[in-house]
Order: sequence, then C-alpha cells, then structure tokens
Amino acid sequence: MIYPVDNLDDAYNACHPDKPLEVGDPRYLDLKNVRNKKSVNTLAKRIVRTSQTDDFCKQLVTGHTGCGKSTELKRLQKQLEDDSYFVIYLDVESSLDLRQITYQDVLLNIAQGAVEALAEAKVNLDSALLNDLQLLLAEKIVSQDYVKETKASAGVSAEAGFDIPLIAKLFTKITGEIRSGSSHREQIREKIKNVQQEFIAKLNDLLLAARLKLQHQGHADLVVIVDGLEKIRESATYNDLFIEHAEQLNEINCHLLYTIPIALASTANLGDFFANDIFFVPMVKYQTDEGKQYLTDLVNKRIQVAKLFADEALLDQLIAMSGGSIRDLFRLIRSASETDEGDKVQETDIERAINNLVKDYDRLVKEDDVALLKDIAKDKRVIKDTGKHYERLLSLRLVNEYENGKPWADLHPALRKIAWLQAKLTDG
Amino acid sequence: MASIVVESPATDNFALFPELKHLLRALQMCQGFGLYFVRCNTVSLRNELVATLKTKLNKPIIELPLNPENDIFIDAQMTELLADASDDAVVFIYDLEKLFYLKDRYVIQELNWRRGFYGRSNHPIVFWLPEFLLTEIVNNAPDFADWRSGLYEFSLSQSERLDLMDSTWQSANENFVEQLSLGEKQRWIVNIQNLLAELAGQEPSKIKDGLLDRLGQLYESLGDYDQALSCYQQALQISQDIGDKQGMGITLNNISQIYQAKGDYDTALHYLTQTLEIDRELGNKKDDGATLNNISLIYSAKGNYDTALQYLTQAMQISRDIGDKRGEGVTLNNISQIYQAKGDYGTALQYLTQSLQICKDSGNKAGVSATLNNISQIYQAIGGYDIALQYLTQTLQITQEIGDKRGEGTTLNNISQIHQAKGDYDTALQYLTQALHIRQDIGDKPGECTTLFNIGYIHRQHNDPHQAQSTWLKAYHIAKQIGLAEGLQKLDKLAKDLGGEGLAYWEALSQSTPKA
Repeated sequence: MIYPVDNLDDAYNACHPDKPLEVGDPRYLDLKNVRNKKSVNTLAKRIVRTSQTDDFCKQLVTGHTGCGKSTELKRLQKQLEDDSYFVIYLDVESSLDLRQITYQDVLLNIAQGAVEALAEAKVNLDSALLNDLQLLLAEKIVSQDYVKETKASAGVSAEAGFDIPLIAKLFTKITGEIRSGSSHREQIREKIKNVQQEFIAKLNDLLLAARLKLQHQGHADLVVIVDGLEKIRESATYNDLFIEHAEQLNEINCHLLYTIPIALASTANLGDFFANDIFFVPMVKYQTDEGKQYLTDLVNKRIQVAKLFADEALLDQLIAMSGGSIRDLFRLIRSASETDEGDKVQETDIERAINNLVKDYDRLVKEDDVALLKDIAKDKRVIKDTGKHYERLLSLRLVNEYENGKPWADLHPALRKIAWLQAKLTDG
Repeated sequence: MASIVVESPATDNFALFPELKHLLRALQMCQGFGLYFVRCNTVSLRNELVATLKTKLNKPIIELPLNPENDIFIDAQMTELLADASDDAVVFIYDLEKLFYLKDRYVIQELNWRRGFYGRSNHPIVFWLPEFLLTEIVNNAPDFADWRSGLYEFSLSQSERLDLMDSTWQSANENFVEQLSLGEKQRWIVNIQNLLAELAGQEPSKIKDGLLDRLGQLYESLGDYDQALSCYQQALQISQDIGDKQGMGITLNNISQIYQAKGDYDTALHYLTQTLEIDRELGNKKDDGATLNNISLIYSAKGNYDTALQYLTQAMQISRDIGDKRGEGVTLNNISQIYQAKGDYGTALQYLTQSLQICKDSGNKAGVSATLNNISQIYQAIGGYDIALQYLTQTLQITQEIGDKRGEGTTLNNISQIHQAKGDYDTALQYLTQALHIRQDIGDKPGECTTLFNIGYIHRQHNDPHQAQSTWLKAYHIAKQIGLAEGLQKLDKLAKDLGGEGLAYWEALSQSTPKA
C-alpha cells in the first residue's frame, strides 16, 4: 500500500487501533516534540552510556495503553540493533499468565528467551554452562517424570534433524505449565524460590558467556526488552512483582527494560530499586497548537485527509476528542470511515464516531469515580489517593497524564460529553 | 372481501437499525484482524441481524457459538474453525455469556491475556454480546477491549421490550378479580352499579370509595380503561373529601396502572410519585414497597434499567426489613426481568431461583407459577425450548389448580411461542386458540389482542396472507378501542415490516374492510 492512501477502504486499513507499527513503516511519525522531548533515543543513549561502564542499565518504561509504547519499543530495538546491540524482545503477554504472574515466571521467561534467541542466532554457548543450568532445572525444578518425558520427545525432535537442546524443551515445558495455570505451577514456583540464588547466578553465568560471545562476534552488548508487563491489572500482583521482588528482577546481569503498569508508576516510589527514572511515554498534548499539528501530520502520513474528509477541519474534531491517545484517534477515524454511503467522511460520520466513543467511556465511569474526577478536572493534577482509585482512572484512560516540564493530568475529553457526569462535575 | 393483500414480509433491518449499515461497511472494509463488539441482548434479535448481514456481506461468515462443554480456549476453537476458511472470512462469536456463567470472570480475563492470539488470526472477529457482558469486558479486560475497531449497539424495539415485560404478570394475582370469568365480572359490575345508585344521595364515604375502586378494577380487567379511569377519579375525589389518605394511595396507584397500560408513562409516574408520598406519610412500608415496584416497572418499560434497579433495591430492602415475603418474591421477580432485558440471563435466573424458593416457602402458589413462567422465558431466550416447555407445563398446572384464568391464558400463549420457535406451527396454533378462548372468556382484552397478533403470524407462516391480515386487523381494533400502547406499537412495527405506513395502514384497511 502506498501511504498516504486516497480512498476510504484503504484508509480504514491504514489506521489500526490494535497494531503497533513495525520499524521502517512509512506511517511512523516521531512525536517527541509533543511528548516533552522524550523519545526512545533517550533510552538508547542511556543504554549506550551505561555499556561503557561496568554497570547494567535497568529501565522501567510506562505509558497509557494505546499511546504508542510498543511502536516506540520496537523502534528502540531497531535503533539498538543498528548500533550493533543484540536485542532480545520478549512479549510476556503471549507467553505467561498475566493474571497471576510472579517474579519466578519472569526470571524463567528471560532465561528461556535468552536461550532460544541465542540458539536461533547460532551463538553457540558453552555446553558445560548450558548443561549446568539444565541440570538445575531437571533436578531441582521439574519432576523426574517430566525430565524423562521431555528427553523422550527431545529425542524425537533430534531424529527429525532439528537440534533443539534439551534445555529449551525443559523451559517450554515449565513455562507451559506456568501459563496454563496447572497444579504444577505452585510447585514449580516454590522450587525456584528455594534455589533462587543459584538459579539467578547460573542464569547470570550464561548471560555473561553469551555477552562475551556476542562481543566477539562484533556486537556491542546484549539487551533484553520485556514487554507486556504493563498489562498486569491486579495491584497485588504488580506490587508483588515490582516492589517485593524488585531485587530479583534487578539481579539479572544484562541491560534490561521492563514495561510496568501506569498505575504502579503513579503510586509507588520505585527509585529505591531501579536507579533510572521511569521512562514515561505521555499522551500527546493535543490541547496545544503544536500537538494538534503533530496529530494532524500523523494522520496525513496515513491517509489523504483533504481528499477523504468532506472538510479537512473535521479531523480537528476527532483530534479534540482523542485526548492525545493515538489509539482513540485511530478508532475514531475507523468509525468515521464507516460512512453510510459515498466516498467521503461527512459531518454526520464525525458526530457518530464521537458519540460512539463517548458511549464507550460512559460504560467505564462509575458513580464512585465522580468525586476524584471532579478534583482532577479542577486542579489538572496527578492526585495520588490512598485507595486504588487514581490507578483505576489512569489504567482505563478516564484520566490522561501529560507532561510539559512536570506531569499533569486531565479527564479524557469524552468524559466531558457524558451528560450525567458533566452535570455532576459542574454541580456545586 | 379485503382488497389489500399482505405483501411478502421484507423487514428492512437497515432502516430499523441504523448501526447495521455501519457494521456492514466496517466488515466489508476490514482486511486482516479487526476486533468488533456488537451489543445485542436477545438471541432472536441477533439471529435477525446476522441473517441480514449474511445476505449483504460479500465475505463468508464463520460462526462460533460457544458452549460450556467445550472446555478449550476460545481462540483454539477459532483456529480449528478457521483452518479451511477463506482468507477474507469474518468470524462471529456467540454466547460468551454461557461460558461466563460457568467460569465467571476468568473467561473475561482470559480474553485479556490471550488477546495476542486473536490478533494473529488475521480475520475480523465480531463478538456478539449482551450489555452486561460488554460492561464486564471493558472493565475487566480493558486491554482486549482497547483493540476494538468499533462497538455497535442494537437495542430492542419498544414493543419487544414490552413483550419481555408482558411475560411478567407481576401482580401474581394481587386481586382476585383476575380469577373471574367474563360472566362473573359482568354480573358483578351490574351489582356494584346498583349499589352505587343506592348510595347516590349520601355523603362521600369509605364504602362508596371502596365500591368505585372495585368497579374500576373490574372495568380495567376487561380492558375498559376509560370507564375504569372514571371510576378511579370519582374514588379519588371521595378519598380527598373524607381525608382518607390510605384510600387515596390505593386509588392513585390504580390510576397509574391505567396510564401505564395506555403507554402514558410520564402520567403514570406522576401518580405513582404521589402514591409514594402518601405511603411514606402514613409510614405504610408494605405499600411503599409495592409502589416502588410499580415505579420500577415504568422505568423498565422506558428501557431505563438502572433506575428501575435502584427502585427495586429500595423495595427489596423494605420487604426484608418488614419480613414481607410476598413483596420480596415479587421484587425478586421484577429484578430478574431487568437482567433478562439486559441479556444477563444467568443473573436473572439467580434472582428467579431465589424468588421461587421464597414463594414456595410461603405457600404463595400464584407467585410460584409467575416465577416458573418467568424462568421459562429465560430458557426460551437462550434457545432451551425443551426446558422452557417443562417450566410452562408446571405453570399451567398451577394456574389451573388455583383457578387463575388470566395466568392460564398467558401461559397457553407462552407455550405457543415455544412451539412456534421450534417451527411447529400447528401445535402453536392449537395453544393460541385455547389461549384466545380463555382470554375472550374472561374479557382479557389486552391478552386477546396479543394472542390475535400471534395467531396472525401463524397464518402468515401457513402462507395465508388474507387470514393473517384479517386476524391482525382484529388485534388492531382491540388495541385501538382500549388504547393499548403495547399492542399499538407492535402493530405499528408490523405494518412497517409489511411495507405500510405504520398504524395508518391498519386504519386504511379497517375502512375498506367490513367488520366481522
């Protein structure tokens, strides 16, 4: 497809609320100027700088859902790879059970991801090291029946002429058990906890060996990006992971990025465990002329607005309703493109798209939210309450955080169009 | 002979449901993965909408009805289904609520953490959901929900909502007038009128007030709303004159019921609000609860379920506070109807089960039969026709046992609807004919109107448009005569489906057709 597209059918498919852009996609637009000058370049620089010391860069990344975080992380990966880093990108969402994730699961996932990625890149690790980690898994973590079974099936694979080390098979078994929530899950976690220090130490040995090998092959260093952890919803779960077990997450010896829930970032002081500032991808400041212009440009990179909208100014209405969320903006464009007939988006389509978005947000607002929303609407600031209320509002995007200099917050503009809520907000 | 014949029914769902064309367009445009939510609270409406989409969408539709027996991940089932599908196929997923009842929130959370699997499916995926489940998903699987390209809401028409409410004869025989035959009612009316004539010269009194209320109820049960209203208004005047607050409360409530039947909800609400004030002034908790229930019914009829639920919650609290088991049963029934209207059948069923227990414990047979009837409607809504029929059979037995003629008519009518849904039109017609006899017998005009309306459909199914038309015309005459809002709305929609101009269509027909 050639962007920007010139017909509604293509326009619909040029705007996805559900897919991050791959690196090199012509639709990409760097929004750092309307995001408090922050971009992944900052992160890349941090990593490069830390690489020159003996330290490892441990970085937490957060942002509203749908703000373009994954797109940015993919760009970071590309940028680091261009700087000859070896990057392992792990999407935890598809490999672990985010409802009840523990630090053991994350450690295992990193170990598994590293072993697999290195094998795939034909970075041959020292077999004695691998063997050692494998024995740890086989003897202390999984049951003996499992090992036999796994060995048997690994044997079959080997015959098929595909060299998957037994260790990879064991990892697959273990993480499979953990993800599916089987009865073995707790046993496995308990066992890892018992050999935690040993496990981390052996993982670190392996990572060290890998880094040396990689550097030998001309790579600058190894970076692991763990994406998906920001989707943990239960505060008990993410507090346990990032506060109670921050130490274990920090002990991995490589450059490491974890995504975290925006709600956690807003309420906890994580600086005690993670030296760097949390990298926050704010919403685009859609309220300013510059922000509006960037969002207009962003859309124009994808679709020919002048040709597809009855009036170019109609796009402004959608931008004003997006709250600076890229995802909401694309959803609005999709809705508006489902025009009744004809090949242009008309004013009525814009109205319908906005109405639908407002209805969606109406479903999320609860009576209990009103008091806090009222305060935020008045003070335009980040309000940390002792309850979990602010966290809820943030994670559902009822409230969006922006940054210019310092963080501030406001209600999602769709909330202003909910009649009952507006009545309560302006009341008294 | 009628000069106009019924044309082939071609319901224009695109005109009735404006969102449908947007959904169609979206599905037509979408290439690869796209996530869509459709809010649709009943299976019948869903079937209708899907049928329309099937005729218009230029892509194959793969349907995945979920069921609790198949305990593998939804996405795994989907993958299996899609194995041989063409690249442009669209997936419709139904009945998530069935899994929800089984596994609770887990099902919803699973959507959130397995959303990547859907994303990789490379097909547009449409989840057809009732309102309550949609709310669950946006709140408890927000990341999944956030991928949606669109959410399309389809609401029941007013007449369908009323249909749903129709199945609740909420009063559960609050007054025995409902158990009388037409002849008995007519004789009684004459007697009361005679008594009133005797009392004509006397001062207003409680006795006169009571007679007028009773007479009003008799007229009301015959569908003679205007006469009933006139009686109630006289009664109201008397209670005011003699300062009988309690009498005023009763009469105001009765008046509200007439306006409700006529579809004038605002006036009904106005009277109920006054009733409520009096109940509270008198500290009459039990009546207070009943009034709150009636208010909730108005909000339900208007489709304002949340407000209805608020009133019912208050009513429930009162019944429990004063240990009014009967009131509690009625309230539970009414709460269940709200959830049913929202498509949350599981919760509806929970309330009905509670209600059933209470009615049984307190020996309230009429309550038991009303509840069983409501349970049957849940099963009918989710396509469990055989179970629905079992419940209705029990209902029928009880109504016959306690001589609840009106309930018997309703039950026979409901049984016919099951047979009709199963495509057994002959059996359906048999039950409708029985229902019609009973309803005519007791002078239940609204019931007669409903049954005639249903009979018309059977004739249509039998390819007898003339017969269908003349039956519907009879229903129209009744609805018009008594000002039955519900019936008029249904007929209005029907006329539009038939390509006519709404009620004017029936009026024109009735001018050109000699009355039978």
